[in-house]
Amino acid sequence: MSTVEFAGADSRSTAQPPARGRKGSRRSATRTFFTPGTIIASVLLGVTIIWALFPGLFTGHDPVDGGDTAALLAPSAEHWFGTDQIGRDVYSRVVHGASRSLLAALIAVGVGLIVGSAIGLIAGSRGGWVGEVLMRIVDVLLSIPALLLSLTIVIVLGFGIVNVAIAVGITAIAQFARLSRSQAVTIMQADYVQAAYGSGGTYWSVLLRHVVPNAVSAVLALAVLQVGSAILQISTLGFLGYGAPAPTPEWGLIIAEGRNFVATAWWLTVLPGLIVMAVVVSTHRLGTALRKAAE
Amino acid sequence: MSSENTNSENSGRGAASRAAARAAASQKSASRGVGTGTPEKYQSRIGIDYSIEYPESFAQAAADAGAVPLLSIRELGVAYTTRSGEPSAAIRDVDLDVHAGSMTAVVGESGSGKSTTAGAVIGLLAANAQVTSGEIRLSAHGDAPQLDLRALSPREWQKVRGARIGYIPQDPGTSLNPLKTVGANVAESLRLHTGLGSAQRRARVLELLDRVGIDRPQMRLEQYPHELSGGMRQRALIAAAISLDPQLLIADEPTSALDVTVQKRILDLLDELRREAGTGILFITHDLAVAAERADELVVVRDGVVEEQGPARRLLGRPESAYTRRLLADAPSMQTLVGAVGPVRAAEASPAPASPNEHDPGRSEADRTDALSLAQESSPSPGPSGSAPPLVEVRGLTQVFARVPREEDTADAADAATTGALAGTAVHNTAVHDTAVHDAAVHDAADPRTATAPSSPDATAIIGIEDVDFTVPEGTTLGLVGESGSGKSTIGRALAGFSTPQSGSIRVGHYEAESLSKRELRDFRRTVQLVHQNPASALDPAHSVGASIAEPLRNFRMGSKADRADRVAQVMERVALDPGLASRRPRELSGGQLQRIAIARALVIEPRLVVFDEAVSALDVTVQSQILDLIQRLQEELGLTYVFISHDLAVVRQVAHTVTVLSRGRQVETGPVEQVFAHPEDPYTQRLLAAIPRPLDTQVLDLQALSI
Repeated sequence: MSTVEFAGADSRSTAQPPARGRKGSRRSATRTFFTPGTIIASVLLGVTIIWALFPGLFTGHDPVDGGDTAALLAPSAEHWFGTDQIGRDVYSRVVHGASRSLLAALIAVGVGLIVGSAIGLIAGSRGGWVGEVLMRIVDVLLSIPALLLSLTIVIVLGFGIVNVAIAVGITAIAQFARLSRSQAVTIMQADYVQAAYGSGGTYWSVLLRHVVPNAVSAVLALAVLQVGSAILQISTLGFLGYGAPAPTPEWGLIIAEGRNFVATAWWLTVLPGLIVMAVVVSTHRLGTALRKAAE
Repeated sequence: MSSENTNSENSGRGAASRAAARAAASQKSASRGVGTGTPEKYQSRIGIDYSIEYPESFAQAAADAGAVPLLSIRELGVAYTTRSGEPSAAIRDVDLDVHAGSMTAVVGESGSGKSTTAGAVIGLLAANAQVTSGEIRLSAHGDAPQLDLRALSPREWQKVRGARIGYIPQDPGTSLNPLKTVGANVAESLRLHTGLGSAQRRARVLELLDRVGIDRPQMRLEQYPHELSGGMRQRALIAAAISLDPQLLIADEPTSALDVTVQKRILDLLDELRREAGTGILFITHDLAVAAERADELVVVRDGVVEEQGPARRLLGRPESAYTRRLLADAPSMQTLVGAVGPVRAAEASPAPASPNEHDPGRSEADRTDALSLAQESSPSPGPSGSAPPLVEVRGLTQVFARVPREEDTADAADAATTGALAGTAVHNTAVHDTAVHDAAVHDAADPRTATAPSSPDATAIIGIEDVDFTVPEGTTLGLVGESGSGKSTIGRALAGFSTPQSGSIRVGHYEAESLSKRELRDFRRTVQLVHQNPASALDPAHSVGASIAEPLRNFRMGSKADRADRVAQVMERVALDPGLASRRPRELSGGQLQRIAIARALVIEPRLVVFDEAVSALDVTVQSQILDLIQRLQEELGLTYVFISHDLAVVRQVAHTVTVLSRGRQVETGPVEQVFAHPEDPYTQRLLAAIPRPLDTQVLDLQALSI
């Protein structure tokens, strides 16, 4: 009986101030997260995701077959982004291309996230020669320019959107490995990791139960940040012709095809380019905000 | 004042504001000669004649003559505006005075508003805090006018901070700029407030460093903060605070991060400063013993309200508020007092006064003497017939991380202090490792009582531990005491199986801890558990506390899922926590609750030995007392054996049966706790005991009379 009272007194006298502070800080964290910038970014990204899921809701035109529409029409109410050299509606192609570009970006980030964090977490928590070898491999990856590396990988794997995504993912491994290694090194020094070993934990149980959950928020924030640059890189490879084959609506390819008509029909490159830019900037903005919130 | 020259209102430390302030200062110097103070005062205070003892009555007379307090706070209220809108009051109706030459201590636990009070006085509150009511007045000083500190503009504040109010921050480790030399750090306010040239500043900084008792100031001036020990850094910060001869010093927990012997020297220095220069000191502390020993006036605050205030003597003798009484009772230093004041009586008369701790009901005298007799057997010979061999046996434990030449011992410290600059560069490279030795050495020399033989005759100092022997009989507590860097935690880590010693043996039960295979080590962990200093960092923030407690069970595959939940609930009740808290995250609980959780996790697999590594050092005094009670109760109920590591002698005295004193990696004394504390044989132990704050030396505090 007395023990319960004891605990009650303890919690009453000391638990309240921190609880109040925590609520305050959580509220302020959400407030700093929802700035006008992040709201606009979320809306833009949300629209793009809906494009990718339900392209038919946004456009009635066929993205692949232009039919008998005139070529190189200027933007109008009928064709928002105009039409390309064979009369296809460019806006429709951008909307239909969203799914491919976003999916490829997710695959790329997924590859980087999983492989990179695994390398980084093991290197950071194991240390010793294992860590050294792993991180030197990562240094090699870092030392090759990303575009060159991804071009090489696509050539080895063969053309196609999925291969492009994998190639871009491999270039992202280094960044994930470095971040998760630094997280793991910090976490391994924490008292609670020592306490976990002290209570009979093995290396793998400590890694999975303590290191991964505490490292994950920072790594996920980087992942969101990477989505933007993955879209950009995939578009770049698509533009260079390493991505999806010609009729497929894919953002890089759309811009590449419009390139030949920049002097006469600038909208073919500029408008899809603006869309790519808006999506990349939006994910970057959200990723930065998430990273700050995670800290 | 030519305030239009000060073209920046920025009170921060940006380069722009500094440049502006410098410009303003040089303008002033053109019209007034030297800075904001009067040159004559510098001479008399910090010049060659500072060693002259001022008459005892000097400060008193100054205070009486003035009658007006130097700092007067009336009905001060400070509120923090929160996101939700309505401001929450941090302090309310605080009244206090600081007189010239006297010290007023504000005492309270964390979150009581102590530091907010200090912040309001020096005008450095957090951005979301506001003084809502009351007044703060700083009296006239020399030709400086009386000031209403609430009404100052940021520009006016710049002339008050540093010049008229000095500030000594809490943590000397982080309060000096690591990129600048100590000299540059100390000279900063001189640079901002006076027009002194760099040579003059250097000379002044030398005087200041000498004044605060830093040996070889010539050399220290050029060193960087990391090359100085904690005590030395705090001295440097005090030098910076008094550089402009302020009338008021605010000391915000200036000794909380320091070892007890260093703390004593810093407090002595502050006493000296106020006696000699009539500086008033506003002393913020959580340690009632320190406040009681040094302060003239005490202000006890709790939850932002003054609980009780008055002359220290009266307040300690006859505390009126129940809260003050509880603080007094909970402070372990205070409990030591009875024994420490009359050690002979404690040792000779019936043992009752030796254990005045009324919180300690279960520990019978028989128990204690039994432990003593066991502990006295702690020689290599096996225990006497009838008593089992001790649970823990450590022999010749050695783990040396580095050996550094001990460049000087206490004997030649006086020499070093006088020759000062001459020694300068010769010892520069070794000093990096061993500045603490200097600090200790110089001040030992200054204190004739302790300037006795060095604690170890060896020619080298070590980092780590060397040749440590002790035994711990089952069911008793061994206290490991020592200052920071003495190797306490190294022993704790070795005992708990986190490091393998270079030589020596550790036997716990039937395990030889120094030679365990990986599998044996896991079994060993069921026998020995370690409780860390800081429970907030020892519990994974991502897990609920219940999951943390259940982790050892899961790791050792003990019980089904439902069983585990039951055992978690049981062990939480055992440590006096509501089992309903099991689903909470660590950040939702208080420090005391977290330490209970950490203890529960250690106990859930029923170990035989628990190593507490400074397990109560991070807690407030009342919480600390609760945790100590809990630890003792658990020992009685479960027959646990403890190794209790602490720098706090008072705490060790309260919980331990036997005690081992460590100094710089070597064991200097081992014995039953009452014997070591009442009749310390080693000079180091004597010095350590002498440094415990002892409020009102002449007055024996009768705790029983406080009816607690």
